[in-house]
Amino acid sequence: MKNLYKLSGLFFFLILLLSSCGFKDIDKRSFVVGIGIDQLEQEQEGYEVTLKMAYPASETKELGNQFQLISAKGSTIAEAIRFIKAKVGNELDFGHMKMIIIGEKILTKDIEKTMDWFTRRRDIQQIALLSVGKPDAKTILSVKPKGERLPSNKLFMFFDETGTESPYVTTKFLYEFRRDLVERGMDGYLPIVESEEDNFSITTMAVIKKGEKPLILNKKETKVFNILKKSYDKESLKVNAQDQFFMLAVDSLNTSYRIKDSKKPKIKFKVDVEGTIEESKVKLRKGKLDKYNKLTEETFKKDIKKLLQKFQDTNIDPIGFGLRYRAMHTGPEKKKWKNWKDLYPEIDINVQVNAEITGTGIIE
Amino acid sequence: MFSFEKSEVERVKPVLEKQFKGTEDAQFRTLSLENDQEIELVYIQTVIDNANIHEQFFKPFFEINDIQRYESYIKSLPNFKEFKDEQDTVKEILHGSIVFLIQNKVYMVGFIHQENSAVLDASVETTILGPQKALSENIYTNLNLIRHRYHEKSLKVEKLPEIGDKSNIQVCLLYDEKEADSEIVDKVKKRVKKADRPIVQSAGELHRALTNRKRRLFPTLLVTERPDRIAYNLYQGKVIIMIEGIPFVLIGPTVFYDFMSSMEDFYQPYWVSKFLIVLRYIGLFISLFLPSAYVGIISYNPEVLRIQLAFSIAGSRMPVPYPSYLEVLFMLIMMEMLTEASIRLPKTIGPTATTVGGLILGQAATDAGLVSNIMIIIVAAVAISNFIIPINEMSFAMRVMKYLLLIITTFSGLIGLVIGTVGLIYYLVYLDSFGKPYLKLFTSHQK
Amino acid sequence: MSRYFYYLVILNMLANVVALVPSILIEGRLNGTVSSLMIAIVITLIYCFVFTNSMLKFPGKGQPEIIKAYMPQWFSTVYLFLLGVLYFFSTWFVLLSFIDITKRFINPELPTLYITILFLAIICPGALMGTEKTLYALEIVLIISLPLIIGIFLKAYINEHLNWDAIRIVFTHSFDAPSIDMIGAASYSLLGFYYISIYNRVLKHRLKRLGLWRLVLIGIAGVVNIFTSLLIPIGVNGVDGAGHYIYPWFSTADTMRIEFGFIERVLFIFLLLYIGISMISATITCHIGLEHVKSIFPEIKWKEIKIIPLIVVTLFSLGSILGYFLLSQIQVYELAKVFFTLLLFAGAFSCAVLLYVVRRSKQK
Repeated sequence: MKNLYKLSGLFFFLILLLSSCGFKDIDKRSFVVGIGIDQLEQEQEGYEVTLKMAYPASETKELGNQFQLISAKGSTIAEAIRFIKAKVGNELDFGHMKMIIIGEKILTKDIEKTMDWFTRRRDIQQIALLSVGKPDAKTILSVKPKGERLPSNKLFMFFDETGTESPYVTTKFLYEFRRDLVERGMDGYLPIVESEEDNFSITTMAVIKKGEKPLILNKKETKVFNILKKSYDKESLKVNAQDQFFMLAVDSLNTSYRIKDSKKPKIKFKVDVEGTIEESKVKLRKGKLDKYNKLTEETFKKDIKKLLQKFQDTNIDPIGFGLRYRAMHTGPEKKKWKNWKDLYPEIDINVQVNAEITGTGIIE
Repeated sequence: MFSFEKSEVERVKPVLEKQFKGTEDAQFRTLSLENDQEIELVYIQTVIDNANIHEQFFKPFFEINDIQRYESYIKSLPNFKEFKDEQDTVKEILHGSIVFLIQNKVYMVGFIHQENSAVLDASVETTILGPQKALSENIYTNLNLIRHRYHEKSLKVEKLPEIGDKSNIQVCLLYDEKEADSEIVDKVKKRVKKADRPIVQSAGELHRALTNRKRRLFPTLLVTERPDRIAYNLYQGKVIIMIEGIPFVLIGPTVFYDFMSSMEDFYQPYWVSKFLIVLRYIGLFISLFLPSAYVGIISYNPEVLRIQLAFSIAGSRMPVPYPSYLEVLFMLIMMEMLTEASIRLPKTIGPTATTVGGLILGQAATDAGLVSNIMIIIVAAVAISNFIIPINEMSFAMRVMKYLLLIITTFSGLIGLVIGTVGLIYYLVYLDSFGKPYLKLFTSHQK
Repeated sequence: MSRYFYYLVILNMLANVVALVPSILIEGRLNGTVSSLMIAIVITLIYCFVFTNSMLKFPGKGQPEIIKAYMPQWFSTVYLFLLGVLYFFSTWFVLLSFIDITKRFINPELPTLYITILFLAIICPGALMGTEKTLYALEIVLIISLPLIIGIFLKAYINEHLNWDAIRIVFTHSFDAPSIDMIGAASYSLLGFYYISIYNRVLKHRLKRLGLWRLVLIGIAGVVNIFTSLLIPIGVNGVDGAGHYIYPWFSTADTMRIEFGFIERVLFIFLLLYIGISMISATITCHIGLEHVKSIFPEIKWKEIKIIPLIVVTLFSLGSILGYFLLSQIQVYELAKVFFTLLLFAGAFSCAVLLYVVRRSKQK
């Protein structure tokens, strides 16, 4: 019996010797906090990959400035990464990679092929944030904003719900973008990040459809899109019509849409807004709230309709009407999808806005 | 009495003389009356109450002045015992009896004196609001203490055969007949009878002798010094094993939760005590898992942490020249040394050791870049949370356990930690204490 | 009714909804999954009712004792042996998929042999413990992990990025023809009641009869469970994209984040919890298989130790180690499909045997 104990002890020890792989201390790893993918200048094929690596500092006060940008060119992303590995002594660790920036020029390429590497690797977070870098990804990564405690921290604070909230910022996680690329009936979109000296500015976005040129939305369209897509309600609407000019601070905002499947199919888009007036250039009257409601509705309706029609004209569908259509009909998916593709360019879009101004602020 | 059978005295006397004649403190006294009638007393001076022997036995003998009447006087004494056989007589003498050889009869009177009957202050399991006194080293004083806390006629005290070939220590079994499971009582008796050790001097030692498992990490019997805990456990139907000369008793069968409960829990308001219990379990988890989780996360899966935290750990580990498991092991062992040292040291220098070790060593080690700041925090957290486990034996067991988890995590990462934890749960579940499952959730209070 | 019975049922539900079963279900998401699920649930509930109540007619007895008492010897030997083998197979499937998951998601550099031995080093001694003790261990593991897992499931449902339209598309295919593969896979997650065949030994005095409303309760839990396991990955990864993942549930868990938690990525909590659950599940099925196989051999003792269980467990360990090296992931997947379908028929057969036994016991 005693020998059995000893034997099993020895056996266990031998088993332990089997392992000891994968043991790599945290300070022997180089943490990649951001990756940028750019197109090569001359050749058509291949990428320039830029990694932003953060270096931990032993003094807590020094944190933040210590990062390094390393770029390499390769015909695929994996190849470029392998070249980078040769330049770095430590093990590259993608486990903390939070920012993926895609150069603007890549968007015209087959984006799905580019994304493949990201979804295949197990160590890349599915909740990494995606954005488009303008003019290219490397420039965005090299921005060094003031007061950053961790490299890239500021950038992902933009998208993170725990940081700033702005009506112009659209958040897109890696898994969402991948889903939208594959899904029939819904197209992906990404925020565009521009660099401004020591800071970033995120005001526009790109809607991306597999195999087609991306549609760039301007500032105003981006804002409207965020309202439609996310029911984003921490913002103000500008109403400027009929010699009235006021800003409406939105308290709550609900959007919903239906596809009416009658003889003449149409999309009914409904938006409910509730808010108070925040700023006005002309004197407001209390009894005229109804009128202000109407004005808001009209202005708003026009904006929304314009945007939706723009999507329709370019045959792009970031809202997911196609998916809704598929969800409403039975039958083989292929047939449904074909039907929708035929239907979408001609479908009527009907926008209905209900505004309710609950007050004029604390003054009249 | 038949002629061919020797009288009691004839049987006993040679045995006694053979056993004790050479011993300095053995006394063979002969008292004789005027009519030449004699009685003989045999006793060991150092175990009996020497101061009162004259008052109790010698003086009455001459006052009564009659053998027959003196005999009945002896029989009337509270600790009187009849003769059984020679072996028993020898044993009785060793346990403080005076043997009377009166004519052909042998009588014994217990006249024990012990120097250790003072009731001690509770020092191992202290409470804020509970009783402040613990047990004494005298079994009778202890019985007295317990009886005063548990006035119940069904409380049974049973003497068991003495333990240890050499030490021959008196052992008593205490249980409430109404509450205790008779099967368990029998089991305990059987185990105590089977226990074979030459010398038993502490409750822990008896505990070792009582369990049939040779190598044991976790306590399956509770050692306590608190009379209130004993009373509470009696009420719960547990069996108490008392040992002569030790201010601790063994309680069985005890399960895992018993080792995680403090008597304080009963003296505090409901929510406070629940909070304390939760705190204790958090402490248990921290002291068990923190070191191995540190190694597992730092060396295998740093992506588990938030990036901010990961960076501050990486930063603080920058100057450390060796892998994380060595760092953890080094600091943990230093910490264990410190704890051990402060137990062994005289009470007056104890605090100095902890100050030197804890503060100065810790500070210097980080300054020298031998360990990271985070590591110091972890070690301190582990040490402190280990002390929160109320029963000493359990906290020792957990101290050992964390190294096993550390080893398996060092070799296989976080997956090893989970596997080790499941293994630990299996092991605890597998154990039992006198037939009671050791670890089982929602044990219904047995009545 | 003993709570342990429910633990066993819940354990089986939880353990099987993340690895192989959802992959099979998601593969056929557009081909009558919903109808297959409903059929599977009805069939299994009937089995459950018949089997459990038949077992409960013999309080304190396990299936081996019952079969041996009322059936010819040749039949009981063959029958019990085959049942034991089936249980070992289900242990093996759990083991294989979790070894693979460990390698894929937690530690890719750890040798497979090492992980396998590590798992077996805990599972085998666990299976050798007393029947009652395995239940206590099960209770502890479940009580620790169940609230967290339910929390993660709920968090998945309230995730704002969950695409409900994608989920609705699955329901548009409700009335498509069901397939036997999917019925088998879906019913597998509900088969926890079979465990009573051994655990009936220790559930005595507590369990009287499985009433109808309790059956309905189990059914509801099963429906919620299996639909969660099917729909959440579809909602998160898209109806077209969900099929691309080998382990859809772990990729889904990676898309969740706790914004203000100590650990941000849900994936790791989920993984570690599931390693624990799979281990206890493997232990329990292994224990049942062991008890079945053990019952057909006479008790042989060597130095006070019963060696038949040891031999059986060693053989199983060797088999599973070999199995991993001989079979590829795809082969395992196909094998699992066959196994689940086979169980569907085995269930009918074992219910019939038990009903016959109940009749014979009444005649005697």
